[in-house]
Amino acid sequence: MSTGYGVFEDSVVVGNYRIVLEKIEEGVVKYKRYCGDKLVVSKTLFKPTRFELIPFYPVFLPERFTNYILVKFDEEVYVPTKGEALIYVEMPIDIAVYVYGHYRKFGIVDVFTTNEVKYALYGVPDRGIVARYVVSHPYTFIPEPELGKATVLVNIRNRHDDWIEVGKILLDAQILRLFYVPGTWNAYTQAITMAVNSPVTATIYYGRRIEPKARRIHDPPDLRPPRIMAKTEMLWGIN
Amino acid sequence: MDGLNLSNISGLVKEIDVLGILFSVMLIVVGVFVASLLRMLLYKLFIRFFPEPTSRNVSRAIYYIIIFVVGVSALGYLGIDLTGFMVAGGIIGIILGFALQSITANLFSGLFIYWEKPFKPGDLVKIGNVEGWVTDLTVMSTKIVGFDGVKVRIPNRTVFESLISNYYATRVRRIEFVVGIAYKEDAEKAYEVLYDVVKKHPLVLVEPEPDIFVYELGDSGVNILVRVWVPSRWDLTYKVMKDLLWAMKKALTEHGIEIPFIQNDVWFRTPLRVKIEGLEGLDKGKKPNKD
Repeated sequence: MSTGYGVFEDSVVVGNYRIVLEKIEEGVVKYKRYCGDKLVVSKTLFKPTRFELIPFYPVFLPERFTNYILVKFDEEVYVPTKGEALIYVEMPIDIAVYVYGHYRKFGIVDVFTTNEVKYALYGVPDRGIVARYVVSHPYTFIPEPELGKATVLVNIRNRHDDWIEVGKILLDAQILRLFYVPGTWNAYTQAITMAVNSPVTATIYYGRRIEPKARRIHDPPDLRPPRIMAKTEMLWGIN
Repeated sequence: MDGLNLSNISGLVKEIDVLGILFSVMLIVVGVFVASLLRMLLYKLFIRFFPEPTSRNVSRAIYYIIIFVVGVSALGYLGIDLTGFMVAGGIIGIILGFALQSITANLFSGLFIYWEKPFKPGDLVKIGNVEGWVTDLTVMSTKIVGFDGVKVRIPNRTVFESLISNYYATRVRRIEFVVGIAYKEDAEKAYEVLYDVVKKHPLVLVEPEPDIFVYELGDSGVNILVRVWVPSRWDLTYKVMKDLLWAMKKALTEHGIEIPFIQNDVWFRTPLRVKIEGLEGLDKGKKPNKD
């Protein structure tokens, strides 16, 4: 049975996948992931201490070539002059299997998804950004938690002198943080502020966690380069 | 007095021209100083535009040219006749000019390529007919490793004069597939089948949207053009190229859409006489010989 994020032992079911841990001998474990009856991944691990299911940044499948996520709204949001709008959107997340050993060091054994993986170009072909693409409804309430989705609280602030129409938001996985509640499929990002500067440009700021009970995931080191300004510029349109 | 003849010494000094020596020494000192300063300044200037080895070599070459000119000028002030030297130098210069023409052309082409930056090491490019990854870009040549793993050295002059396509200069690129269907088939149904296939591939971008349309009424069938945008990185592009065509063929077959073979109608201007062996007897009312 699927239990939710966090520590698991022996086997666990996640969507269409079944993960099985087979103890071969003392200190040696065979990790296997099945899709139905088909074996998809098989790895041998030495001296693992525990395995955890972790919500993961959706930029690693089928392989990593971008750090961005583009969330397109299925309905546009209109925000008045100098006004604000508070919405929730659902961002796709992949699922990683972390293995822990001694010295509290973790390794990523496997990354898979229960979502459809699609990418889109944000901007122009020569200078734009290729981003993981998802369509979400802009909710005015917290949507029901779902496997493979993280809830993102977006505060749209209109700094422009006219009404604005917002239809998408670009997020940077290198700045984004993921949080989860162990034992559930609840996942969250930190609060996001989208400061709209003009009808076509906006700046995304990354704030604090929205769910106090949620635990932050351990980030892979290569996804956390040193940064001076933790913000994302949307230069090629907001709708 | 046999020991010291002061009048001889003063005559010698007059012949050598003390002022000339002094001026020559000063010229050399100032020249070396200016050349060193210029070398340093040019190095700092070039390093902004060119790689370090190129900046170092070019500034060093300029330094030696200045030293050479200063040295020749200093010898002139010492009263040494340099006419013959200049003539010989001029002739050597002409000979070297002809001999090093291609080297000079490559050198300056290399500098212009550095300046213009049409590509950088690691980029996937097509220069003339050569396609591959740029591994090295020096003052004289550009080295490329082709898809077959062969390393090709292209002189910079050739690079400079060739058409250069840089596949990594943009974030995404468009690739195309031509799919033929039989004339009897419904092209709109084929569009739907093909669109479903491209939509399922994770590396086919949602935006810009795939474009599918009939672009040619061919000799044997209706040709449909499928245009999709993919990330520029070659391994990703190549994966889409490999996956999609076969997936589209399978999908069309599964939906019963015929992919035509080449069909040729041969028309003869004059009536043909066909002779079939073993049937000769039929003309005369005999049974054909079955043996």
